[in-house]
Amino acid sequence: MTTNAQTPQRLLSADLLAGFWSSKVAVIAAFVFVFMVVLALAAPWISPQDPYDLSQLNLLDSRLAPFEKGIDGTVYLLGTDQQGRDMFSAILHGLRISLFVAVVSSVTALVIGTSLGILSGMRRGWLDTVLMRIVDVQLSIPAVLVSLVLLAVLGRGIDKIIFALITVQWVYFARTARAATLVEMSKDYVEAAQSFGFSRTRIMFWELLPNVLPPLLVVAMVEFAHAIALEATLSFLGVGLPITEPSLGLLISTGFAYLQNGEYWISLFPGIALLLLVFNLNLVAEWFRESLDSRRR
Amino acid sequence: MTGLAFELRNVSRRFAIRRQLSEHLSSWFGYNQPKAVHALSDVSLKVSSGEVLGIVGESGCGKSTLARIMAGLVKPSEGEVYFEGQRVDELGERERVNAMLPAQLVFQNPFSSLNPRHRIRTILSQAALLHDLTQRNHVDEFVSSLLQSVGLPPSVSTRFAHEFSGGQLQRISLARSLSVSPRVLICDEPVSALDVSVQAQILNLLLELQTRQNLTYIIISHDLSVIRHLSDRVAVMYLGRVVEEGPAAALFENPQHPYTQALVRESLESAATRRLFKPIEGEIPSPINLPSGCGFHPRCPVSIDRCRLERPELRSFGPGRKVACHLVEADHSQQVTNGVK
Repeated sequence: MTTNAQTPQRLLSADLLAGFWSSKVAVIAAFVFVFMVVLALAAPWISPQDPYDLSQLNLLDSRLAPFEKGIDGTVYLLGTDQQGRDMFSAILHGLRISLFVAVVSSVTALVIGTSLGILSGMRRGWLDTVLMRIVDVQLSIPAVLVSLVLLAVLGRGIDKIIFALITVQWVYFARTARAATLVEMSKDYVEAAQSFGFSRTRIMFWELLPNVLPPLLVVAMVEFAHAIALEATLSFLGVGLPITEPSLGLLISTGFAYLQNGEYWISLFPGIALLLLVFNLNLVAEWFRESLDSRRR
Repeated sequence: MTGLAFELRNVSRRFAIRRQLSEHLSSWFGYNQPKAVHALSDVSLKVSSGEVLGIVGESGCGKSTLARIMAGLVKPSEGEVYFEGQRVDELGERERVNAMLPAQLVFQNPFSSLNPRHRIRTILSQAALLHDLTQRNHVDEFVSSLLQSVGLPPSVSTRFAHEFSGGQLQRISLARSLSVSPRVLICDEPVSALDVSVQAQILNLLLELQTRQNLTYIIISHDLSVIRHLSDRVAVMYLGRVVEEGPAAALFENPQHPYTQALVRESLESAATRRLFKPIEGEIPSPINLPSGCGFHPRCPVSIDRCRLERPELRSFGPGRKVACHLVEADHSQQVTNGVK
């Protein structure tokens, strides 16, 4: 008998949420992550200073240690950088840019990668071969290297780094989507849809997509964290965002020169922010993956 | 409507085997013939409207390929397919599927034939909506009447497939096939994925639907008792060919082809002793390298030299019956029956 014991459930069912609340790690990690996102979104209103407005900066306040008083008596919570910029404000705004870049690139990569992956698994043939060889080649080269080369050619800029991240990331989605599609294609409901004369696009997005989505959401979370880290790496290396739009990576990079003077705060605090963001996101993604896996068993 | 629902003329279907690069190269230089699985070879069948045709055979004999050709999902490699008098095998994919919409396939495994992420309501109504067989504001009544016709309460329409048992799922699957008001149902092993206790219910439902909606059925099964329960006429398949065909009662009463004889005998024995269904000694030959002559000769208990050399044609034998065996000539038939016993 070929009955299959799998009982697929809705993506956001009640028991998934119940499992979430019972996992302490997931709750704390999600809370920290959401808190940081809220901070980033609210940055223009809650940050004590506009780090982009040079008229608010005072060069006499440069490189103050945390909790030191500035020349006009304001206390800088996390110190200032070499231009007298409040680090706390700079981190909030940097968080904002990092998150923006990561969201745009991983969502676009999700859409492109998933579409190509499902198409590849559905059509097979030469299209599948060509696409999957591209994916193989890309996966065999480190992501940093690919994006570094791309940015070296394209130059700096927020649009260019988003483009580079999409180029690197779509392959992960395409690979996962194709694998899931191959599994689904062997099930009879696809054939039933064909026999009813549904168009290929309809089968792709209406029949197959909801069934291949769960593993893709896990990949999306992991790739979101990956994008943040990658962007920070590229900015740190000096090929990412321009100095006018400082992301977390760029902040770390500017403080790097002063580390040996003992002025740790310029690099350390953006570093901690970055770490917290990526780490907690990965924890949530890991919990999500595990709970999806256990429900599929 | 009377007349022919389906007519298949000399239909063959081969599936190419995916080849390695080396095999590609050697075939370019003419060393290697391209290999193929011969799923169906030279099958001719007629199905009249309103009748129930049973197709029996072991797994791998081409039953499912035949079902998919009749449902318009697979194109024959050779031969002609007529559906209600219209030739359909030459149509493009779109037109073929649309022309053959009144011939619907019922799948074997109800656990995989319903999309797990759609509500029953969506599953039952979407094909009808696409083909303008119901209106968007009448979907509720449409779905309820479909569910009622397969013996399920209308309240299940908001649920998902995983909330049902196998028997219920097969009912829903049937309802989905009925949603496009088909005239022909092609049931590919309709009950073999179900518990024995549920099988009879589904079979009776099939019979009930047939009389109520005047459907034509093509029932495909490896289980002789299912075929015997439902069919008016039976075709026995072996290795992609029809080896015997005839009215169900006569065929089961007095099987002519040695393969049919063995099947019938074994099904009686296994029903009596409740042991595993294991028809005949030996394996089905590979459909890639077909045996010479009669496909059954390597396993046939009464084969003669001629069987190895020459393939028997499907010849008429008695009223409405056909058989493909060298030993079954009008005067030899008695002898064969004795020989097997």
